[in-house]
Amino acid sequence: MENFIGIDLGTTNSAISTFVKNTQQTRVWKSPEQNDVTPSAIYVDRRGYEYVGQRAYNTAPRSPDNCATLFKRFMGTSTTIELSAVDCTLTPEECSAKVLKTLFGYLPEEIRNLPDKGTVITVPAAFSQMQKNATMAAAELAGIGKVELVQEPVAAVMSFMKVTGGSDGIFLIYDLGGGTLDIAIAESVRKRVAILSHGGIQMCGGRDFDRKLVDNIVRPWLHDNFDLPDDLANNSKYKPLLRLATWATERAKIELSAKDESVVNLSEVDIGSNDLKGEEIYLDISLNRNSFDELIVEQINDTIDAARETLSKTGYTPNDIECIVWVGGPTHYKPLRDKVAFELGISGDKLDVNPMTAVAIGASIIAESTDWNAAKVRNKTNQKEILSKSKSDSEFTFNFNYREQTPDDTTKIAVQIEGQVPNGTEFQVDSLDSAWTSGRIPLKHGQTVDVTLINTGSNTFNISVYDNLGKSIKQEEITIRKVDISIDKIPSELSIALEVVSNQVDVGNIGKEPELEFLVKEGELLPKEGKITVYAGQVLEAGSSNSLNFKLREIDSMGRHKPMALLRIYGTDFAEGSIPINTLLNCFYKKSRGGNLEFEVEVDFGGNSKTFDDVLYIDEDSTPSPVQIFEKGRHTLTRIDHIQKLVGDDPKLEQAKKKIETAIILEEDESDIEKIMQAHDANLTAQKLLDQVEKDPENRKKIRQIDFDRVLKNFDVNIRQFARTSEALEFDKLADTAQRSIDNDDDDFHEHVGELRSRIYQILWRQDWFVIEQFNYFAYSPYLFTNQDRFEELVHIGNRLIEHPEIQDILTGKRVTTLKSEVVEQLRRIIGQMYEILGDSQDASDVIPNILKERQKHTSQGNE
Amino acid sequence: MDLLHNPFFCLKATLYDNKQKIIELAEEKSLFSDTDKYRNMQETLTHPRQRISAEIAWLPGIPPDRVYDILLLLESSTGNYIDSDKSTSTSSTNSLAVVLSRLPYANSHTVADSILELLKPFEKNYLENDNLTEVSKFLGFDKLSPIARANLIAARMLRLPEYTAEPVVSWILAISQIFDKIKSTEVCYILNEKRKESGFPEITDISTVATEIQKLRHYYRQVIKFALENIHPIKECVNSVTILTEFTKENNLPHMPILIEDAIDVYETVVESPLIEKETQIERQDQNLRIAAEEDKQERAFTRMIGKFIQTIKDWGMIAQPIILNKQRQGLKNTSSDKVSEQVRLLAIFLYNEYDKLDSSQQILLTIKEVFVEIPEIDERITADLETLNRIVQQRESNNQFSLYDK
Repeated sequence: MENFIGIDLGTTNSAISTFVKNTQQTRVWKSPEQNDVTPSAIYVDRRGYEYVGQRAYNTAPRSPDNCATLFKRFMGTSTTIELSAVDCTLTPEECSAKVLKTLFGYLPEEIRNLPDKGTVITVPAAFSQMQKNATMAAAELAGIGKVELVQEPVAAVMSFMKVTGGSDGIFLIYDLGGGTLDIAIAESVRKRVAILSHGGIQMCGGRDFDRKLVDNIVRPWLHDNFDLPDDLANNSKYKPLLRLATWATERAKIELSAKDESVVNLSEVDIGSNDLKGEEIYLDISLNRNSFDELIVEQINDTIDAARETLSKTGYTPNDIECIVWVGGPTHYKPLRDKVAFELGISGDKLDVNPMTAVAIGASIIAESTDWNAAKVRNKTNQKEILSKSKSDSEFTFNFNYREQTPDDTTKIAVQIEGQVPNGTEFQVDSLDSAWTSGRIPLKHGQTVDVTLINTGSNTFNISVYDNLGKSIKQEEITIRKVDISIDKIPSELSIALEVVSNQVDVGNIGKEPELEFLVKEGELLPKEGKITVYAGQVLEAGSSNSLNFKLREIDSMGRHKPMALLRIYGTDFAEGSIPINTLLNCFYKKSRGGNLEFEVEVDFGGNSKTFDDVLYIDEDSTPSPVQIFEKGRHTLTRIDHIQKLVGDDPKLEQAKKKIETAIILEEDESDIEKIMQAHDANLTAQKLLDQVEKDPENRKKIRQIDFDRVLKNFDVNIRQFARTSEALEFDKLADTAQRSIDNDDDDFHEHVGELRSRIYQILWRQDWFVIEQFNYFAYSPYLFTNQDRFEELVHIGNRLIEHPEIQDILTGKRVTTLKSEVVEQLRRIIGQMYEILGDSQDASDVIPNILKERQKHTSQGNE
Repeated sequence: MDLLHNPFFCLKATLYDNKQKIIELAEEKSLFSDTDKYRNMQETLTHPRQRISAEIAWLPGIPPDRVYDILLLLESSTGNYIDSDKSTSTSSTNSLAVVLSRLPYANSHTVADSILELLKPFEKNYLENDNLTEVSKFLGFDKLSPIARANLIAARMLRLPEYTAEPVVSWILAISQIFDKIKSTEVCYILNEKRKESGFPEITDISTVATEIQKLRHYYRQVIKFALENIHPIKECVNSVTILTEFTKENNLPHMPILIEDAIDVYETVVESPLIEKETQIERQDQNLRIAAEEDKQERAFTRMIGKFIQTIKDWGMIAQPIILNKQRQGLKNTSSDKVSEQVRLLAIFLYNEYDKLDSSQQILLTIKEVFVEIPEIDERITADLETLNRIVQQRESNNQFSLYDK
């Protein structure tokens, strides 16, 4: 393979580049308009003709209902792109596939038609598994051959290193695109590049700057100068006006990169729309850097915080960083670069790479170091090669190991031997590119030969082995490639774990958290592949509708969990036999450099093994409703107030509050998916800030102590009177244990406090009045439940029970509550069923894992 | 992380090596063995944050040449745990000979043992007042920081010549006391001293060190588990843990050292298998007794079966006792106790209600009471059962027969 392809599939712009192996040169392929980048926009005209790129981008404001833009933000969700003017619905994957296909079309035919081409597509570091899967699906739809994903900042680093010649140092990559911010800390030592950490913000990019300008400058100007309805933002009649205004604003914003002032300018003819008084609308709004800077200051500060957080994960300080590498359109704006560099205390006022094409170029460089011929794509960088294995009569085998590619001028070839080598056996290495030879060297284990690589690119050597009579017994040619730079593995941004249980699943045992068997831990180097062994937690008969459930979870750096994928083996998946309890199940997994996960399970059916790989990825990122965002925000706000009382003023808490305030002003009937996602993101950021404050060692002990004291006080004041003597005794002992956990600052604290709360709940659960109150609380909190039909059904039954005279007697104190009431018992069962439908929003999330961590010992034989 | 699995050991790197040197060492190693393994080790040692885990699990404060002397001794000492990279370990005899030849005082196998025995703590305050010999001073033991000492003890615990109650308890007490002396600030200071020389950035966030020390604690738990698992017979293991449980009381300490608590916790997993075996035996004997009662087996044979059953319960109780006490102390529930006591109690009730086996029923209930005396809930229940039985006996003596409970 001579040509390697890299594609930057961006939110607003995309680009394609190739890397030529022999010359080690890259090339960005221009669009028909002779631009390096192509807008990620699609326009479909009334006759069904599709236009992708600049033309679509320019047409979008005038024909918003014929156009798809910003679809990358919805990758991996069930949101569809409606082109209502042409009655067409596209998935984000289909849109991305069209962009990929268009970019591929820029390549010369001889590259395009290569049968064994390999393409690296970049994705934001913060992309979830669902989003990565969606990108792979788009590539498949586009039919562009073998594809590997790589994080955008990783590609940017490679581009930067190529330009700078791979000088040693630590660099901060600040990649602010149209939709996302990616930060990476990279280190180069002897031209070997390693990514030390990455982070970023999913909903922060140039597109958000445009919205700020439109909301704060353009719309108010329109209201000042024309008679327009108050609901301009949501008024369908003025939708094209706002689209055009946004388009013109973006152009004016880009102009600000080159000069201090610019104008948002559109004539009456361009707009073609009248106000409520019939006056023709135009735009003539002056923008200057000062007003723009004020508007985006909050977002820029968020990006600076993200950079600081990413840097703190490495153990380095700003003083250790050589410079900032700027990537993405918005970094063309010098005041932004100056502010970020100044705040971080890192030099970085100049652009070392073209921010618009660095990612695509870097992707093509990485494509070259990818082993496209492997059965499943894997990185070949720095794999050692076994030249040959020879077994002669004297029973010894030898290997010559070397690095297939290296950035060094010299490299080693090492001899590995098993068995006894006859005396006098020798080997010799000869360069086929020069007259250099190693001369005859005794063949022994551990022997190394230094070889010089005179060519950039391929260097060929001949290795010969001679027996003790000087007769050649083996000859082979090897190629070692000298590359400008090599990239080492990339750390995983998330942990991935399989949920396992320690005992046979008991359906009645609700609420017990499954254990986690980690496949990949955060920070572990990718690619990684491996196998874990688990056991069937229940019998599965052929043809049965039951299933063995393998649930995978993602855990982020703050320890937050979310369901990620589900693989179910149903009884209907195999024709005969059964999978008995305790059957060994081999789970194979592989996480690529781009973070893409493959997972499959192998089951042995009496000597015949069968593999199951039908993994369902869980769309946990689907946009929540405005009501859910409000409730979540309110809940976090309460917690922030609580923590603030405990730890005093902390700028992070203030910041979190501000974030939530932007989230909870969302209108209940808001339909703009971008606004909803931004509010959702604000909630997540606030939660993250809150987590940081809570996990700060100085605060942690204080917060734990006060939380714990509240539990104790609650028990003493409200619960102790209902507790049995032994329960109270046990509670006190457990409280002592929890107190020790606080004193020792150990992780068992949460488990102990959870147990204390559970004891309180158990005592309360025996009280009839509590059961009634619990039901009423659930009945008035429908937002806690996603299966609303079932919820309403249960509330209906419960309400009928509540009206029963026995319950009314309990509520009015006429009934002695120690006497067991059958009606309350029924209510208890209803609440039990409500618990079953409480919480997670996806059906797949509700599936109970039934995979055993260890073989269960309580079997019929008893002694496994 | 075991000292012999530490990337510093596997790559033959020192705390003073800079990044370039570490990369060189890793690349050379990877030419002969598992590329990924050495690549990951390189990443661990060159990443300032990840490096802390390896530094803390190493021997900070001991000069590099001494470190390898000590570790080669460890590597060549007895024990079946060692599973270090084969390519790095030359034959035990050779490495031992090399090390011993460098020691000024010795040239025999017994010296290797005696050096390692220096770390062997039998007496109270052993580690504080060790009479360090010249050899140990040569190896730098007198200057050991708590962290290095704890890591060495952990490594030694994995390679004891024999695992019997007394030495294992001593080792656990030693590592527990030393662990309580490990302070994040001190560790941070030691590591930063070395980092200044190797060119790595100093650790500024002390919480990262604290986190790593907690991870180390989890590792030590595993080491303790390994030591306990290797004590045979099980009774010896029970004795070990009983001694540990009583350690705090005997020494008038306000709290147990945290690793002793951990040791008692891990005991539960160590004896999981024998406990389950006993529980299965109890289940089987329960069934057999019910059948025997139904078949109206001869009294003597039945009594013998009851005797065996009671012995099994007592055996179970003997193994479970430290767990019961530990859970009680912490205010935690032990589901096995509830399950076993209830199963046995139901058998006692069944034998009386269905077959009028009063003596057997009383005997069984008394055994439960004896085994579960520490658990008030069970004790209360059994006491009530026994009182009911006694009342019935008294009433029976004067009146007719009653059933213990309504069926």
